[in-house]
Amino acid sequence: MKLLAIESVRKVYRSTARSAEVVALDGVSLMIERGECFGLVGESGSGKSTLSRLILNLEAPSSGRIAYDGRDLTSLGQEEMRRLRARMQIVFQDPYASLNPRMTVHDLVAEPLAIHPEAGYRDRGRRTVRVGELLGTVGLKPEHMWRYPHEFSGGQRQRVCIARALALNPEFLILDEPTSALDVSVQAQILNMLLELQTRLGLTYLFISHDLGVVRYVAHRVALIHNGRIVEEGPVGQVFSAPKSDYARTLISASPELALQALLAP
Amino acid sequence: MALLEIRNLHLYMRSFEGDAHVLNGIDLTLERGRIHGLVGETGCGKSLTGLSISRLVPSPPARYAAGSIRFDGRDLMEASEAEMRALRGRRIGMIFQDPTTNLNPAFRVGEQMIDVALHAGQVDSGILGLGPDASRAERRAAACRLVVEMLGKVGIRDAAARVDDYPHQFSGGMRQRVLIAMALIGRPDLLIADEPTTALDVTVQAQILRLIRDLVDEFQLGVLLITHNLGVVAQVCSQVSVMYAGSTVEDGPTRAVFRAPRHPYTKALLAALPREGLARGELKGLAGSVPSLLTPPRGCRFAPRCVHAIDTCRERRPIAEEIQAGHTVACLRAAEPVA
Amino acid sequence: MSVAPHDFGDFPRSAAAARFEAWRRAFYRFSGSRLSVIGLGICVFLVLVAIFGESFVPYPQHVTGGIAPRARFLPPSATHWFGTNELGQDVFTLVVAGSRVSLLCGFAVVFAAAVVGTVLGGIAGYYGGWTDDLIMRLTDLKLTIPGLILAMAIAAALGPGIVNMIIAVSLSWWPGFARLVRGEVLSKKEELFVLAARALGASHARLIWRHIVPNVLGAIVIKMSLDMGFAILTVAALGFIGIGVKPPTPEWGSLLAIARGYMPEFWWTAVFPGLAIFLAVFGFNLLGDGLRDVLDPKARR
Repeated sequence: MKLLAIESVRKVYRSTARSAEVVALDGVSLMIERGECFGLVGESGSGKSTLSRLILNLEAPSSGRIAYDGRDLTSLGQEEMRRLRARMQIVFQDPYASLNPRMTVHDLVAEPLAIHPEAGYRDRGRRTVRVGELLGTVGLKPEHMWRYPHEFSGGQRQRVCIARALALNPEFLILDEPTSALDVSVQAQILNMLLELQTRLGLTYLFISHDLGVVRYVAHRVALIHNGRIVEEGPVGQVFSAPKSDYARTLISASPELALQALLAP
Repeated sequence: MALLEIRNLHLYMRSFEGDAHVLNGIDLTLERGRIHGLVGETGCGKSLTGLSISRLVPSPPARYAAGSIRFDGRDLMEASEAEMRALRGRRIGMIFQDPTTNLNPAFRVGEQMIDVALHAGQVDSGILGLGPDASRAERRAAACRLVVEMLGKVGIRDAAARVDDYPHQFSGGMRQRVLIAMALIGRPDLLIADEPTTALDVTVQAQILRLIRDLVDEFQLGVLLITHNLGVVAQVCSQVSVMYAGSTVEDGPTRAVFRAPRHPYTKALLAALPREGLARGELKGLAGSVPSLLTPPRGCRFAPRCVHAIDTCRERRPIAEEIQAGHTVACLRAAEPVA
Repeated sequence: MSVAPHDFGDFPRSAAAARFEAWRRAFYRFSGSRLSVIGLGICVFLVLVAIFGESFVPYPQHVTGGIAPRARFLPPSATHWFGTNELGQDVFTLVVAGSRVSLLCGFAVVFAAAVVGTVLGGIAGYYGGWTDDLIMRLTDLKLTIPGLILAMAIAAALGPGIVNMIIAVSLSWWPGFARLVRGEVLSKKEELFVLAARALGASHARLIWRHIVPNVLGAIVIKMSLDMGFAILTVAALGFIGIGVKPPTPEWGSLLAIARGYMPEFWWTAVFPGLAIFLAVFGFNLLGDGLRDVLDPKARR
């Protein structure tokens, strides 16, 4: 069953300084099934970040349609959109910049609960209990809650971001390069945790990354985006072993991760 | 004689909390015509090692407790600041991660490079191909020719016209090429490249790495490539040193080290990488975290996270030993049969 | 899946403990610089003098205008540490008593300017568009006229008096704050954590009060501290040219203005009020630099 349907979406930015138009997305169509991990691979400026902003309805597409669970995002009123936001969450690449440095971990993780009183955590005491639970879920200790983000390592901060994203029991997570800023050994911990959470909580993932090794490991299906267009899409094994587009071949031959895997292969 | 030979380098860093023992016996040998990878995770001391070679670590807070850095036979730990200045940008070139912050946005790219060329020409007039009594104008013209030639070498098309451009008119990959060209002007014997491609896209990264490899073949320089990315090492390095918490734990030909790692940390690092045929959830993370360098473990620094650690490991610091030709491991249990 | 526990030592147990811990660490960082501590020491000393000094001065009658014609222009001595002035008043007494008016005026000016500037700059930065244009053109206008001249004009229009002078100086002072706050808000608005909060569905009020303001506050406090010295200087300058505080109320600027006529023979009448102004400017600048090291997120990890 499909959870997210993106249909021929186009996004044009007009810079005010010059009248030149920048086409960030051009005729992008994607379907994401419930319960799958969908990989999106692209380089900087390819339009992958724009796409995630459109899905979160932080910006509107210039044309085309994005439907979440059968409902067109552009047709939703403010209150409906606010409620929908509780069902989809995002984890960003940079765990240093995505946490407000002036808030404690408790306040950061409790923030979604405070913003969405309908979730049933109006009472501060109950929120604190919930924060403790969530920190446990992501492998931190409840005692960590009264600390500030700068006291944590990159991996621990990313755990905080994930706890925050899980607070409202969402069904869909956009993971925007969640491990790109982390060391290899920490990346493995976070990836395993994300996969375990997906199974346990029945989550759907849109996993954005430039690391082909990671995408091959976590994703079921993958799409390659280049200059605002989807150039190739299909099951992970197929795209990686028998790429059809030139761009896919270029990317695969340039990938250090795949070069390393080739070196390690028996 | 090796181009660069670091032996038992120890470095302490003073901070509010106390003295951190950040380099704990670095050993490294780099030959001409080779790209030598120095890999490790955040805070392992790989960048400090690179900066130590060109003596760019401010002291204080840094304090070198022991060790030698022999560059072409000369111990740099004993070199004067004037001597180092003559080496930097001449025989030892450096490039860093972020190509934007290393170019002055207010000056034309060519102008900045000509300055470097003139400086290099002062130290060694042969670089500009002129005698010692050449006039200012002659030197400037020669420097300009050299800059255009170098920009052409690193693959910048129409280099003669682009010297008049400002840094912001170049893309990230092109800026990194400019910095490489700048580092090569002094015809260095050694190039220290600290995460030169980390800020770049995968396809651009591949181009830059290929460029570095071609330049190594052409000029027979030695490159120390500092990176956190094992994949990048696999792509271009013939030799690799793996660092953990301030020590080099394993060192050898890339193929041998990656295919048959002998140090438990190298093994764990490679096991933490997603690879083909691995089912979801089968990836092995590395438990625990890096020890504090203020109060490092007494024996092997990896012992607290090591599954093979025995009591001796916690007491005695392992010394690097050669287990095969050119492949050294700093592990007390490396000689034992593989567990 | 098992996750290794991460050892952090002692944990704060509550929000209050977390805040205390953060302050303690901030002070620890602050105290790392000797100059900052000296600056803080000077400021604390000046504030204490301003509050309690008047009760301990040797000649309290001089504060309220009492004169001693027989003791005119006595040089510094054990009985008159800073000497006496043309009316025979004890200069030490006047300088100590003058600290209250000078510091209070300086603080009032900076505080009022910060409030006005923050509100206007915040609105301009957050909402952008025509409100931004309007407010920023207004600050441009203000910035084209030298602050002192503007303050003089406003003070002259409002008439003499301490309150009017404070209003006059603040009115010429707020554009600096407005520009700072607008710039800070503009950059903070683009921070990833603000985008993250927007993605959660946070309201404008929450974005402003929880995410943007706390991250801009540091810059405002730094500027307040750095400006404090100049504000005292401006108040003194207005006192010097006769606008603002009127004798017999002692104030550093007007003390200096009167003493100007008796230089250089009776140097002590001018040097000691001058030193007091210098000390205040110096102290608050050191404090501001120290605060910048602690509060500026760019300066720390």
